[in-house]
Amino acid sequence: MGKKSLFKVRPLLRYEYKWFIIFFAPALLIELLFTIYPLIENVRLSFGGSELVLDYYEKMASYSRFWNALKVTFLWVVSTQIFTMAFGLLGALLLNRTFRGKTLIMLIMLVPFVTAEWISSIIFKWIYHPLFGILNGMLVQLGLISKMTDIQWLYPNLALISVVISYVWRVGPYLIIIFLGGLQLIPEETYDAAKVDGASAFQTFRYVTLPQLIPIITVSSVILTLWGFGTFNRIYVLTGGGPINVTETLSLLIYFTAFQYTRFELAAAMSNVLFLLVAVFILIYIRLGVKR
Amino acid sequence: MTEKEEGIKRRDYVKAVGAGVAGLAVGAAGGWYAGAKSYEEAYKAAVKDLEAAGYAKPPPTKELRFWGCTWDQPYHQDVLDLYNLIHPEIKFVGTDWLAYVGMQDRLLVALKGVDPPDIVPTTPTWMQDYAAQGLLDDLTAKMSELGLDRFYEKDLNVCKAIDGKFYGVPYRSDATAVFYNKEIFKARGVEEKLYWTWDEFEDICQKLTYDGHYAMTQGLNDTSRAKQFPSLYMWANDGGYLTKDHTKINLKSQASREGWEYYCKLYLDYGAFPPSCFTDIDIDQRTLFVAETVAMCPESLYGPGIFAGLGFDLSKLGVMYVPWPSKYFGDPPKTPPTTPNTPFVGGWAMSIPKNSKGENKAAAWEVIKFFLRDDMNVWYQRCLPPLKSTEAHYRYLRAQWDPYFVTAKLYGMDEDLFIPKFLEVMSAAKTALHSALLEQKTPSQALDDLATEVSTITGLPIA
Repeated sequence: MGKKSLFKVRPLLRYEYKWFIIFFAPALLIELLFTIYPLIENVRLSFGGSELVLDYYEKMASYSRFWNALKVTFLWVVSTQIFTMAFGLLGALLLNRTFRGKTLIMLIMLVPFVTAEWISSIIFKWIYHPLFGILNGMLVQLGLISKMTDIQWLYPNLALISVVISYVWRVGPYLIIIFLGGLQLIPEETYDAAKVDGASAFQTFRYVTLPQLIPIITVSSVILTLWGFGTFNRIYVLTGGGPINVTETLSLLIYFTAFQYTRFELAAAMSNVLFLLVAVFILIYIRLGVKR
Repeated sequence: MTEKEEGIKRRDYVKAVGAGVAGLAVGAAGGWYAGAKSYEEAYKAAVKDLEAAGYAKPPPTKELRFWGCTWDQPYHQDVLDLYNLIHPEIKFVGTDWLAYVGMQDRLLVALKGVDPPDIVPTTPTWMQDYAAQGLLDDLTAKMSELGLDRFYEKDLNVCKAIDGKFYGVPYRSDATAVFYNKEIFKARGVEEKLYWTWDEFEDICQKLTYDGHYAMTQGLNDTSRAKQFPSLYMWANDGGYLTKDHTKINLKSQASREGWEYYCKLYLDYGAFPPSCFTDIDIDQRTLFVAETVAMCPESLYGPGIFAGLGFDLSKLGVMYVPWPSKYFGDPPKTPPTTPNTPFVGGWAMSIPKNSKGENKAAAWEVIKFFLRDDMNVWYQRCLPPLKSTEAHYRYLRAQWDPYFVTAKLYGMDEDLFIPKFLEVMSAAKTALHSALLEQKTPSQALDDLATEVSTITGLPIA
């Protein structure tokens, strides 16, 4: 296959330019005001305003909490990616057939995704509650634990995975719908051909299904990465970044540094680092996606 | 009607309303308990009568924005309405009542913005940082108008920043008490009394922790509580974060260490706090107290109102002081200290943002002065008054709980004013406390690390 440019642009006709500007200008203005300008201002602030110093980056480099937050952020992004993708793919594969009530099931599945994040986080906080939580209650009833406080879902050893689970609960169904759409675009003939060739279920998945899902996986990865790096509400409500900073991601630390410790320059420096990380990740994904 | 006649009618209207309302206000201070509703109805009726008689309310010439706290809302709104009646040239617009959760963020954004409200609520915890950033007006020169000797010294102290200037006017004072469930105490064979030594308190924590029930609530997910709760015990033991001259970090002293380790012992040895204390804030823990899962709840003195609001039967509510180290009690027999002692935790103040409209600042100050009138302060007071001059009224109105605390020797919170970057220090305190209680470190190790971190944050040396 020859090299294809992702963006093939047809030159606009003269009259189209006028309408292009009319319709594009408001969005551009909003983007300039609320994204570009704050971004530039943020960079300026991180370098000490007009002083242009590296002091705040040096402070950031020697700030142990920053490195902890970076580590937690990577763990968070990677684990949410893996688990959400796996959940989405598995769910889509299971639902990729015709059966009665399929539409209703799909509608119900979307309920977590459309529930406001704060609300679903508070619900999970109560699900995980060590005294009244329904999860431990069920485990006690099933005889898997002897008393409610045997498992502490939001203590340091389990806090991060507990928050990941609550995230997968919310976002996973959305991925199911996305992957289901992708699966349904795969021509039936390719599966027939694989069957004729004697491919096993795994081989069919590996050599037929997966390659055709790559574009969707790439786009989903980009979206999940963006969401992952920017996750704030869920972690803030469930654990507040604790206990002992085990769930404190960079976005939370930036928030605390700016709005609780009022160290805006340091927060600006950290947010620039976060921005660069996100940009690098997304470029890698896009590059991998284009190559394929 | 000529302009002169209109002017006379307007003046008469203001005088009539002012005289009537002022008279009612003086009577209200004594008769509030019985007459609150009828007073409100009376002044509304008076206004209606005046307007029916043809008196025109003068149009407002100035708009002020007032921010208050949700827990003061109905009472402060009454004061604002009253002020508006007496001063119809003032119109309150965009009045907002801030809930504690999220208040810090909203205040900071407003104070740093170009158009903050004209009056904002502040608490000593945050006032330091705001003052250090130049976000609040210096009210030192104005404070003398209020009469500094009317205030308790402790309340004045918490409205000063490290530079010794006033950045807020205290309208409410506060202390920490330990509220308890009398029925649980009775069921577990724990006697009821006001004073407890540390040794005795350990015993009752042990008795009150059993089978999914716990001795004491602690909302340790809140940074201010995670800093404050162990501090109560360090202060009681004559320790604290700073040396008495506020120049060095005092966390490694014997007194501070004993207080910190005693507090950690309550959880580590007796399991006295519910396991959800690390992810709960005060509100969450209070529900456990109301649900009678926990026997005791250290709380500010507006606690009874909150518990009642959550459906707790106040006939079951008892109150006692935060326990004291045994060494301060006479021996034998054990007698309480000669004056009651309880940790003072500041309270709330009203401040004027630096960036508020210059032409409104004088009017804003007049409103603040109105709130600090004796009769007004008694009327809306739901905690402790900062004013010595209102003590008699206050005792009359709040006979059940508070007289113990009005004249108690209050200690402790003063040092918080002198801790630079206090908000960041609180966060470090939370991490250290969690490490100790979750056994990631020993309490002693956690305290040492905290001392080092606080020294780094504040720039103060360790004593």
